[in-house]
Amino acid sequence: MAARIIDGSAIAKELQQKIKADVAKLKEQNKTPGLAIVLVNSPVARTNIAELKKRMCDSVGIYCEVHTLNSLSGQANVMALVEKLNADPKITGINIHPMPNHIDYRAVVHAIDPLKDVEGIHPMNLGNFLIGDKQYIPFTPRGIMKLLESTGIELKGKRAVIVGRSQHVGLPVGFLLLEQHATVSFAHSRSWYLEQLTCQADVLIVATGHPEMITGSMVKPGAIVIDVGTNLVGGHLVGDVEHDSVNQVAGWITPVPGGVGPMTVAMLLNNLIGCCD
Amino acid sequence: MMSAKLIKGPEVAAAIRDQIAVDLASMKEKTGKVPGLAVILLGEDPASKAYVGNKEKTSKALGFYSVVHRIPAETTQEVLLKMIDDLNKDEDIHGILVQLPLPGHIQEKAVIDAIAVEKDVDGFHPINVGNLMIGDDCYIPCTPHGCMKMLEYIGYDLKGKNAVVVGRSNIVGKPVALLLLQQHATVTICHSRTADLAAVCREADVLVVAVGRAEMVNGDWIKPGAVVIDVGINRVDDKLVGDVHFESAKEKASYITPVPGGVGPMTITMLMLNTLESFRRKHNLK
Repeated sequence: MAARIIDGSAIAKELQQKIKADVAKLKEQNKTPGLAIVLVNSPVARTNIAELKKRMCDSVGIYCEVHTLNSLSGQANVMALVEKLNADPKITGINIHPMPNHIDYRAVVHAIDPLKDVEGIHPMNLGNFLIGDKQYIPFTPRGIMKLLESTGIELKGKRAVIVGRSQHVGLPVGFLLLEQHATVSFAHSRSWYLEQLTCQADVLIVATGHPEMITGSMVKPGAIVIDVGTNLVGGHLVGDVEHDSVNQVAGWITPVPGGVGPMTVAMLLNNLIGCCD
Repeated sequence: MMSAKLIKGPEVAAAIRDQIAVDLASMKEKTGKVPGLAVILLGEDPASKAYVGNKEKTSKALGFYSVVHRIPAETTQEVLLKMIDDLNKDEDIHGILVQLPLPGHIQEKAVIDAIAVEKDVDGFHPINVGNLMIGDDCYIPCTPHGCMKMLEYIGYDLKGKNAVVVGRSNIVGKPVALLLLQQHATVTICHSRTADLAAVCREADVLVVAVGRAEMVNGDWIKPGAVVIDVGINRVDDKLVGDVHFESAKEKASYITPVPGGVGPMTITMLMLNTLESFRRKHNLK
């Protein structure tokens, strides 16, 4: 039997409607959420995603500015822009896109006003998040929790295994699952006995950036599998999970594309509403 | 049957303090100054008084500059925050510690957030916690730091190993899990809601237990040859015992920390190490 699909696109669309209503309510109180996207033109900048975010903002009534700095911009240029956005009352959230190597990304993140940290990645917000004060939560993990919620399956006491320990996805999603009283394992590229571990997972979250590294034999029958990867292989998008084999074993699975991806932009805007309060 | 080797806290701590003394001597020669630690104690709680007394004694024995503010339990939050602010600005102070727990009329979070990040030698400020999470420069909280130093002392290579942490507190479980992960262990965090805790513990090459329940983990739960770090200190019939049942566990483990004489004696030394580190950063020393 094939796994049930967790339809990220559909859940994101519903969320978009809710965001639209929330924005309307905020506007009644004379508050308009404003998003600034900062990117330095380079192969990692993901310009198309910035445009997608802008369109989505437009459609729900959020003010949005995309600041594309030219490829020769240095640290000082980026920092100056962030300072300007920190001070700009129209902007309630700042979203930094991946930066080229010559920019110190961490220094940029440190410079963001923690109150405008829509991504939930400033150390102050990460620290508060870890100790249980959840005002700002990284948005991809938050989207993953929504997808899990949509299955209606209780997480308490379940065995959750996260493969990949990035600060944007793996670590925060693990601590969100812990808060839901799951038993949480963090695995990664150096893990021995990886298969032994993944086979015990009632919830398996894969965010490694290695195309199709998790196969059917590594999955517990009936498990919920969340595939965070989007890898371009031979002109096709594939996840970190080998869909065909895992689909035969898992109980639930997110497709790529159409799983975690569509949720991220929606959750970013959802976080932005939070920054307005 | 083979019995586990003991990882003795006082022995590990003494080795670290010897190194602190050596480093301090050379830093003092370069700067003409010594690290300063300020401790604030509210009220008369006997346990807190004893901890603070030990911190003061260790601080002085190492040649640090030590200040202890013993103030009444009724002190207002406003007065306490002002005192912290003064210490934040004090050039001779490199570490500030407010002894917890605090009386009910004071918000613990407001107090912790008020300490300058670069002087937060307890490692409880959210920015330090956040930096710990992303592996950036931070002060590592004393108890988790002590656990890691004990593993380092026996030369244990964590890379690829299965580490299981029982307990998910902000001051031990979560930070120790992050530190183990940074050493490339595979880390599982368990707690009271974990289904079949014994089975999960049996997968552990390294088992760290910090739940505050006397002798909850027994020998049957331990993989032969595992390293067991027992963070618990529980008083049972006027005797101190850990969260691990020592007698049965030591027949299975390769190394184990005793209670008392294990993790407990490490924490004050870690506080001194963090204060020295703060001094080192302030003066841009290697």
